[in-house]
Parts: sequence; C-alpha cells; structure tokens
Amino acid sequence: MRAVMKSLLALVLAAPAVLCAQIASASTAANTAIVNRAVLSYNGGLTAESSVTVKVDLVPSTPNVTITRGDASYQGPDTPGIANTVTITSSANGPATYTVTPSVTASSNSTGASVTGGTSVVLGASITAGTGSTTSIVVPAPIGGAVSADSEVNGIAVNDIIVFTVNSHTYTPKVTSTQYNASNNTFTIYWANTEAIAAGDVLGAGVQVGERQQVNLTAKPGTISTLGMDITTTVKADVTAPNFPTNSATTAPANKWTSTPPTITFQKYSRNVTAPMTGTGTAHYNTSIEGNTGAGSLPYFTGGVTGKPGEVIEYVVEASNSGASTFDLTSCAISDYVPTSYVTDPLTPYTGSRQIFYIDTNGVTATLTAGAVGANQASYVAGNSPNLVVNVGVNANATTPGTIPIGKGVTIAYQVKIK
Amino acid sequence: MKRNISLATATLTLMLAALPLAAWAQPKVTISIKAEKEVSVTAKGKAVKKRVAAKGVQPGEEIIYTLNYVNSGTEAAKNVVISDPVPAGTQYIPGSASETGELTFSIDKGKTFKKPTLLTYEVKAGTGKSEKKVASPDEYTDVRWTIPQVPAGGKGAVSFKVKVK
Repeated sequence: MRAVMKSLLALVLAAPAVLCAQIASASTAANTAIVNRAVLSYNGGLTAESSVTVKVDLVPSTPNVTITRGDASYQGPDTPGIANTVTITSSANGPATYTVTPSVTASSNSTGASVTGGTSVVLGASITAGTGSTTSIVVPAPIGGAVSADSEVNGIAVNDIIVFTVNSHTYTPKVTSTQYNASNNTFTIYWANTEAIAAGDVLGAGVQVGERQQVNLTAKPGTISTLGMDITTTVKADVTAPNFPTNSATTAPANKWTSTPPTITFQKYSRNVTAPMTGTGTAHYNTSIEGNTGAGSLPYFTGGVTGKPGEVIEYVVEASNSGASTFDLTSCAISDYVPTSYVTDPLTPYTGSRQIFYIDTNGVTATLTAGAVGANQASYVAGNSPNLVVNVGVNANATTPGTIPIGKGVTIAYQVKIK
Repeated sequence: MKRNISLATATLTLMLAALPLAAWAQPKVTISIKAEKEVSVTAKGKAVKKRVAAKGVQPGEEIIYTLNYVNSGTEAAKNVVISDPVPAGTQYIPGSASETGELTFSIDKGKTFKKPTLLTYEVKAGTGKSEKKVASPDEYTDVRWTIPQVPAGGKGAVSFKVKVK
C-alpha cells in the first residue's frame, strides 16, 4: 500500500516537472493577464483574500518578410506593371501594425521606373498556453478582449492565416472559429479538418503563432531606353512597426521586361532609266515609279546595274516596319549620300519639277522639293554627309521625322545623271 | 414558577450583555497585494534601481509581489496562514520569498506544503529503479507563510518574486 502511494505521488509530482521543462524557455503572449490571488486564513477558519493583475506587454520582434518578382513583355511606358507580392508573418507575442514601404533600388535600360502600393496591415499573434489538437491551438484570452465565440484573439480572427512551426514543420492553417474557455481564461483557435496537422506536431504551451498577410505592389518599368534590350527593376519592401526592428525583402533576381526589337526592312534599288537593263530585278513598278500601282513590270535591281556617263540612274529606297515588332518606328528619316564626284545632284524629273518622289505609309504618292535643311520634308545639301535626307512616315514634315506604324512602309525615289 | 421566569430573564440579560463584548473582541485581518518591478533610473548621474508599479511586463521580466497584512481587530489573530499560488505564466525566483514565520512551498498546486529540502518526488531512472528528486524552485506552484500570531493592531508583509515566462 505504501509502495503504491509512493508511485502515485511520483506520478502526480512528475507531471508538473515535465510540463515545466517544456515551457521553461517559452515566452508569454502579449495582453495576457498574470493574476496573483492570495488567501489569508487565521483562527482556524476566518479568511481574507486579495488579488492583483499584471498585463504582459508586446515584445518587439522582427517580422518575416518575403517578396515575389515577375517577368513581362514591355508594351510601352509603364506598361505592363508587374505584381510584386509582399508576404509578412508576425514573429511577435502580440498584435502590431506593420507598414510596407516600397522603393525601386535599381533599374536598367529605362528611365522613370517606379513601384506603387504599400499599406499598413495589422497582424495578430500569440503564444500558446495549453495543449491543442490537430485542428486547434490554445492561447491566453487577452485582457480587454471579447470573450464570445469567434472573438478576435490578440488580433487573430476567423479567416486569418496563422503560421507556426513545430518539430521543424511549418503549418499555415486558416482560422475557422475561436472559442472562449471560461474555466482557464483561454481561447481555442480552430481550423478545418482538411488542414489538420500531424498528430506528433500538436502544439503544447509556449509556441509562437503569428498571422500572415500579403500586400500587393506594382512595379512599373518607366520608359525604355533602348528597344530590343530587356528592362530590369529591383524593388525593395521595407516593413516597419512601432518600436520593432525593420525587416526588408528585395526582388531577386530583379523584375524583368523583355523587349522585342523592331524588325525594319530597308532596301535600296536602282535602274538605268536611259538604258534599261534586261532581267527580272526585284522590285516592279509600272512604266515609271510615279505610275506605281503596286504591281508593275518595271524592274529595279539591288545590284549589277551599269551605266555610262550621261545616262540617268533612278534609285528607290524602301523602308518598312514588319516582323514580330510590337512597336511603331518613331523619328523616321531616310538618309542617303549622293556621290557628287561621279553623279550630278538629284534631277527634277517628277511632277512639279521636284527631286523626290515619295510614297507614304498609306500608299499615297507625292513629289517633294529637296532644298535647304528644314525648308521642306526633303532636303539636299551637296556638302553634307549624308546630303539627302527625307523625313518619312506619319506626321513627318520639314523639321520632324515621322512614324512608321507596325506593318507599314514608305518609299522614296530620286534620279541622278552619271558624270 | 415565577422564580424560574425571573432566573431565566436574568440569565438571558447576562448573555445579551456579554455578546457584544465577545463579538467586538475579535481579530480582523485583511490582506492586500502589490505588484512591482525594478527599473533603472539615473539620479544625480548615477544609475540606481527603483521599484515601480508593474502595470505591464515583458516576458523575462521579474515581478515583485508584496503581500501586506494588518490585524485591525482587538484580539490577536492566531495561526495566520498566507497562501499564494505562483501565477500562471510565471515561475518562482529561487530564494526570493521573505523568511517570515514558517516558509513552505508546494509542487502539487497547494495540496501539500513542505520546506524546500523536503519537496521531493520520485522518477524512474533508466535502470528502472525509482529515484528521489528534490524539486527545483521553478517547479514550485504555491508559496505559503505560517505566522503563529499577529497581535491586535499588528501588521506585516511578506514578499516573493516571479519571472514572466
């Protein structure tokens, strides 16, 4: 009997010893009420009582922060934006307000790269105070908090994602309900059976549980500097909370916008007007380029054309924006160098006695006078190099080069006589 | 019969006269608890420690509990026992309890109290044999002071410290 009593006593006394060993190094949740209630008895039955309550304060702790990155195809200034998602997880013992402040720390091949977004979020947190189950944890009821079912518990509410690590396993269940336990002034926080944790990972007392939230940022590329080269931007997100150490996350590798270079078809042809060559050539117009209908039989050649002094040579230069480019060609001008040592200045064979024949991006033809620079859409100054310049494309004028939209082209022609 | 009535009346009168005296001549002991913590302050260029009310504490900090008792009655209170559970979320700091009267501790939530050296429990060793272990202070669940007597008008204080887990 005595031995049995001893064993029972050993069991009773051993239990608190084991419990204490588990939680010896544990922390306590913020807003926990530490209640000390003393009883004084005297004269064999008379009693007096007194109690005092102390609140556990929030302990600043560095939050865990990560950020995503992304890739996109550059479409134009600040388009498209790339979503960078900042994930913040509390490692504190209680709720705190965290502010996300984003910035661009580096960029390449663009000007004006930026990032928008950033806001403040409140993350709940607690420290377990009892043994839970595969679908629940037990935490202290915070001082001043509501004590009804589904109450917010130290900032942890229904539908919040909470994070805890036990036995090197990290779990991120979604809270489905909270239940107040009046007997020991605790809350049980539940999640769904579908997110049940391993039986061996059921949480005892003293484990930190923090809420996780995401903040969305939008990284913008700015304006590309060189088409055909990729743009990169590095976004940094600083996460701060009052009196907390700041933590940051940086996109690595950087956000990247790929840029497909424009595909430009640019070809110069020639023909001997005075003594036409035989052969098929590679470009065909009607009896003259002025009569162009797009399906003529007058051949032009990319090489092999010969002429004698006194014979007239006509040059045709075609430029088009084709292929996989997603960009219009801007600031377009066709420049050429007329070798005045061997040929004359451009002749004036076209309607109105003008030097240049021009087909615009819509197939509309015109003749242009080539004079001083800035006087007309076309200019010819013998001493310049290049000496022949024609502003082409949409909105081209005497001083401004124009735009060749995707899939469009322009053509110029001029004639010289061999000296 | 008339004499008996007179005797009973006299006895009752005597008892009623004695009752207020007996009720008045009783001990009346009250207790109050104060929770404080020590903070470092600089006074005249020197860092000194000062006790302030512990309204809020952080894990790892110490709370100093002082229990003041006073006998405002007109008779001594005998066998005064002050029992105070170590609050949940804290652990007793070794040697911090004031040596007033007989100081004992419990490791079974107040069921039994003993002096520290007698607070033992048995655990099974690897060999299968039971070994007696002396409980460590962080296993204490309750503190108790037994004071033989607090005289009428007498007062006193006991104290102990805990560390917030």
